[in-house]
Amino acid sequence: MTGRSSDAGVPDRTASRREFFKLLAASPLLGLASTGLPANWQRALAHEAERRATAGPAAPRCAECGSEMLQSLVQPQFGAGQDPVLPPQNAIEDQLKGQLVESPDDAINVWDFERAAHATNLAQHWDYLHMGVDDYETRRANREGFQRLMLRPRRLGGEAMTEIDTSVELYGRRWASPLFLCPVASLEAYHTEGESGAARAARPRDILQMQSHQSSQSYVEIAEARGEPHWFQIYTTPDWNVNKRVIDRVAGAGCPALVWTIDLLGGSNRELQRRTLAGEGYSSVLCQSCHQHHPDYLRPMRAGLEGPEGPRYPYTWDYIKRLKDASDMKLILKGIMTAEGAEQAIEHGADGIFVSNHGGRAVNSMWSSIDSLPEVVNAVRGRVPVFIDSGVRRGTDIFKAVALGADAVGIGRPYVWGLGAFGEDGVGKVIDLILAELRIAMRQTRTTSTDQITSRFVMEGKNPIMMRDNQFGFGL
Amino acid sequence: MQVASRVRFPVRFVVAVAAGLLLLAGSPAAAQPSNVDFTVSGTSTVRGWTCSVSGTARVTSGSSAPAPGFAAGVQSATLTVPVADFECPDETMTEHLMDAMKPAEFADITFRLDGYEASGDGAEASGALTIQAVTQPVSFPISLTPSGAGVTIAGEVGLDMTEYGVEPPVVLLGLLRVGPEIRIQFEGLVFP
Repeated sequence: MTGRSSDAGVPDRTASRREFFKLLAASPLLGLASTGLPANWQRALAHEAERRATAGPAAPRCAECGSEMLQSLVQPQFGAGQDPVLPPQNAIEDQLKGQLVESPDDAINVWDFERAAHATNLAQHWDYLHMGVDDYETRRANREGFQRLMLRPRRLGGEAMTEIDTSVELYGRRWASPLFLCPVASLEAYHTEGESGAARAARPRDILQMQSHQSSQSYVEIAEARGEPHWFQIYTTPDWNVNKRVIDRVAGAGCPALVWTIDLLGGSNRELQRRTLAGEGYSSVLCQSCHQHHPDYLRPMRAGLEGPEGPRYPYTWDYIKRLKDASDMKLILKGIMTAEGAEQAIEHGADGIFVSNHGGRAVNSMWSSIDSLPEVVNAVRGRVPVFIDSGVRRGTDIFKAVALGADAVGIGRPYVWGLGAFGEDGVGKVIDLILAELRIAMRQTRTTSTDQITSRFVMEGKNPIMMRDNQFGFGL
Repeated sequence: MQVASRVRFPVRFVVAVAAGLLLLAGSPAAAQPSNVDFTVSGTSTVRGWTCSVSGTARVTSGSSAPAPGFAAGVQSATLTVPVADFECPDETMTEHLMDAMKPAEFADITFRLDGYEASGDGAEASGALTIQAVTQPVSFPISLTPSGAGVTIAGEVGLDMTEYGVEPPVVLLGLLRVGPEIRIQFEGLVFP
């Protein structure tokens, strides 16, 4: 690695050569001597003379290194009486590392919210959201999977582009876009508005929302904030009666769909969580005070489920029927990553397949969700909707997933970054940014509705193009 | 004559009342208090937070500068927030807020409109914001949307609590510190 400081003493031969020709071009003796010069010298001199003839005022130079500055980096000239509002000096760094924005309106992309949420949240909370398992390989694979896919644009068409329609239909209900909010645990850890804040941002934008079983707020609280029932994600426990009570509670509140997470049934190695809770852990004064983690504390969706113990059925494919028979809700299996899994799930009655590796939080060395999507879609053969999450950060990611057959595409961390930074307004801006990016991708491919987005618009590149700074897992 | 005088008196009375009503119609309308919802958001070293409160707005119409929903302009406007009514997500947070805001000494937060410049669907409002008896000039954009007989006003303003002498709460031996920058958002239906 060569740092900038060590570059200072290395002569730039290209720059020196150009300086030499500039000197010659300005010389009054040029006309006498130029005919005797080598051809490539003459071309260079002619080019430099042309540059001098067409150039405006001399380009400004960097005060430190003396090089000419690109016009894009030059400060604009201000007229008399005009406020000199200078552009930021570190825009490139902010673009590749995320900017510590002070308002949702200042955010340019979702990683600006990552920086802001990191700066304003408790380290332990942040670590919980940020962590992947083991060495973060699955988290990185999720981003690389999307970055390996390239768009194949369409520049012109036979007729004018019509209005872009991003809507999709799921189980007879039409939503404004394929984008949905994934279930994420404990949202009050990042902002007191919690899941309700996300609901208030999602509802007016007609964005589907899935509540985590580990939520900070109850189903009813969130549904009230949203103004309509939302979907619920369940972590089943061995005791069937407990699961049945949870199902009865959300079904009774009008929940139309149950999302069963099956990718953590085998456990996960969450090393960062263990490190960040080293020492007193939840017993610390801070945790005890803020979380009210007193001995009888239970999260809202785990409280009030007391009753007689029930049978402890094994987690086999038959469990799908058991869950389906427990209510009228649609049942979606979350965590399917293979064709075999999808085939079995549908055979046993699943109403939807959710392609997910839990945002890289379940198993390490996993292939990315977007990489596994095509084989799952092939196995599903359109029989049920296919959902996907894990690594979705951009509107182009939504486009790519839809192109490969997903019916709906979820974000997790990005909207929690928005929530953690600015509450409801942050979530709203995250959604708006991603959907604006999706619309650009649709215009660039001349697709005016989501059903026009097919695999013809994407191709696989050899390597992922990773431009963002990913030190310590930021920017993933 | 007596009959006539009996008749003339009510006529004079009616004329006087009518004249008074005409004068009233030509003068600024009396301010009516309207409910306005406020949310205050900020940061801490633990997480973001939002507390809310319902306040009042008194708007008196009549000015030379019309604004959306206020054809005759706005002569004066005052927003008042009763500090003791603030509600945070949990009682502990509300207690910390009350400790900082001292409602027994400083019952209200007030904003008094000094001027405005109408533009598009709203205006740039400027005025004086008073918190804990410290008054500072502020200006912020406000949206004005005619809605039935009233006008929905909405806007937000950011400020630094310490500029008003408010010490951001520090609790749990400094483990939790509230950031000094807060954002106040408001929305309500007012009647010109």
